Amino acid sequence: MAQRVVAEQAVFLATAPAGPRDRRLAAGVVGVSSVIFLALIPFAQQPLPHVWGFIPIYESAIAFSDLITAAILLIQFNILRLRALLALACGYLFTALMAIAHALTFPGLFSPTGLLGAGPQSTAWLYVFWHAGFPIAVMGYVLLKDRTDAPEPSFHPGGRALLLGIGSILAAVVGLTILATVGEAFLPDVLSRGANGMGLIVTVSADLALTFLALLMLWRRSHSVLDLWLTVVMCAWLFDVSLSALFNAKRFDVGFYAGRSYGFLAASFVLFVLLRETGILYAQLAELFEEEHREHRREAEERRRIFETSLDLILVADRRGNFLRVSPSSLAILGYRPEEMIGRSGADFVVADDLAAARDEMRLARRGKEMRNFATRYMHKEGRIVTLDWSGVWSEPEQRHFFIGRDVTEQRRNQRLKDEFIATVSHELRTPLTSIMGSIGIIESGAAGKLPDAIAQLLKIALANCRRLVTIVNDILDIEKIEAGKMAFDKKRVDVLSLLNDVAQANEAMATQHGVTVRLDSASAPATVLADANRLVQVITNLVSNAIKFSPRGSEVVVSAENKGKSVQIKVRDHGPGIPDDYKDRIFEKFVQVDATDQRQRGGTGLGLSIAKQIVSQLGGEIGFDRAPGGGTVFRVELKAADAAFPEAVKTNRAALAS
Amino acid sequence: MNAYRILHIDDDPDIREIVKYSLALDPEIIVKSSDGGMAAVEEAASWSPDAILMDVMMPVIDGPQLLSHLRDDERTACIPVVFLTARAQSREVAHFMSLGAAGVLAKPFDPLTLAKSVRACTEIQRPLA
Repeated sequence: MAQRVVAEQAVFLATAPAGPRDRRLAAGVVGVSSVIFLALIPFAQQPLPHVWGFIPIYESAIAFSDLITAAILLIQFNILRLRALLALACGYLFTALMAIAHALTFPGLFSPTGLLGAGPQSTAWLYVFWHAGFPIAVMGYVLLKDRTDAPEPSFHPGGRALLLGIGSILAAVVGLTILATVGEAFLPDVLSRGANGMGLIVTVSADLALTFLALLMLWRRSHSVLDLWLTVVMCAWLFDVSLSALFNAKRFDVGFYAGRSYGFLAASFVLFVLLRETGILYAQLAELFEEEHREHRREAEERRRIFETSLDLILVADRRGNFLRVSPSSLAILGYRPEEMIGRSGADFVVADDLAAARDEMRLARRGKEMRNFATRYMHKEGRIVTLDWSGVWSEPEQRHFFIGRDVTEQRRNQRLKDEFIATVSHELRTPLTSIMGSIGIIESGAAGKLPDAIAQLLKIALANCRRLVTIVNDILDIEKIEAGKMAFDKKRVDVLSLLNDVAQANEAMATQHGVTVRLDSASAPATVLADANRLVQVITNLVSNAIKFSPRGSEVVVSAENKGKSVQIKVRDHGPGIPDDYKDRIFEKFVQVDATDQRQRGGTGLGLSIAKQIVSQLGGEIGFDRAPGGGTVFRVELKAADAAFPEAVKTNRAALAS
Repeated sequence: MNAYRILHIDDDPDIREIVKYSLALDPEIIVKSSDGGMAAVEEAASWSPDAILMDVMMPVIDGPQLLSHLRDDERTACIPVVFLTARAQSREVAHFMSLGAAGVLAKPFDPLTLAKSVRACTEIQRPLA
């Protein structure tokens, strides 16, 4: 979450771009400071009372402020890993430590000549070193900031760089302090009888030059808020050095006090903005935490409600199948309250025969398979079997199985009843029809003796209608099977021309009866499709018989096959009146029959085309019709060629072998 | 003339009557009828028909179970069995064939061609004289 803060908002002073408001504020501060500075110059050498308490207060404040600033910048370096921030932090650390050394060596403060073995020039030299060091650190900050090879933000401390930086500063401070105190004799005099000498003017000029250079570098590259306020700091630094070492005459004059005041401001600007930034960051962090907490609470509440109100059974289990959480729906579904199931194994509730399969599914889920879908039977508390359709996943981080189960017991029972109904109706309708057709057929054939013509004719009518009744029963049962998804298809390679030939021959008698001829188009190409041969015969027979019924006497019905490479198109063409416009959208619906206009009995149940469409669809094909050129209708059945469909067959067979 | 003996097993008396008439249209066929159960197995064992024509949906012992009993009895194990059933869907046909049936004929049937259909299913399995 904190990474989001870093990544999304760029709230750090070192990276946040300076806006117009920041620039206006900084310009205002520099402007006011400049005016005050210029106003003070003429009075810089005016002596003022010696306020000895000023030095320790001022130096302590600077040291304290700079140490805090250094610490905050080091923390930011740890996060942002910008070496420029380390350089700047070292600069503030240097300033803090040099301020302490300066105070300790200040003559008359802690001892007449100052501590640490200081001489009369020591404090001045420490001042010079101190006011050279920080601008150098700022220049280092600017130069390092321009490098774009900073690593990704991280919460792992940059330990080595940090220790190196702090160690270097400590060594520098100690070294310079020793040089200014013990090694004072090696340094030229900068003070002359307690007043600013030429040496000081020269050395301080060097400090000013460094400050000015740092200011210039910042000015050219000031993009971030930190850059902007460092520019302000450098201006204050400039005023500090100018007033307290260049324009003043000696210690405790207006320049001395005013310059050091600017020095304190210089030490404080960045600290103030850093503290302000920290405050803003904390506020944003708190807001984000609260928002995330609210989001978590909302999600948890949502999950709880879904869990408690679900009609399906929700289970959370460990890798061994022991239930850890059970939704309240367990009572309605299995008869057990959740607390009766929690802590127990799924094996206590699963029907023994289904246990191995259920364990396999859990094992597969743990092996990284996607959501598993399977059915398992459970023992209800009352002793009956309940069938549940499950969806389940395994969560590796949480080491938990998550299952949602739907009670499909009633659904399966209804399906079984429906299947039994179909089987029973099928049997109970066809059995008496067998007796009726058998009896009439035997008598009509003359096997039971010669019949008078009238009786023979009546029996012929009875037999024809028996056959019609058989067709109706078959069609109704077929439709029922198809809609229940229970029609089985035995898909094999089928020689289309051979099949069409058989259908044509089988319908020859009917065709003769209607005064129509049925022929196979000689231009038909050999073709093989992957289909259930019996069902395909059923479809083509339906189309051919329809074509015969609607063809005028003396006309022909032409059956053809076209090999289109990836598919095979079978056509049945008649020369009848065509399909009326108001039937075109409904011709494949159940119980739709085109009205007879010539009183000739068409027969049929109105289910044939509906069944044909569903069969063709199940075979993966398409059925349709067009107006035939010159009149009549062409019905088309398009199926995948066996070679194009073969990969499907391979997949089906492999699946069958695997199961 | 070689007599071809067929044992017909069906619980429906009307169907038994029709089948008898139908098969009798073939002068070589001699038909005996049974209404099913273990009595049918005994009848098959004692009479040794050339083929058995059997319904599927029968009370107490259905067609597949009866077939199993016939196969378990060494006296009847080799007699070809043809199912005559109202449940003649492709998958069901495949199932019956996998049980060891010699053929599956659908009800309602054409009485004039029943004999020919039964012989077509069974004659290749008829043991050589």
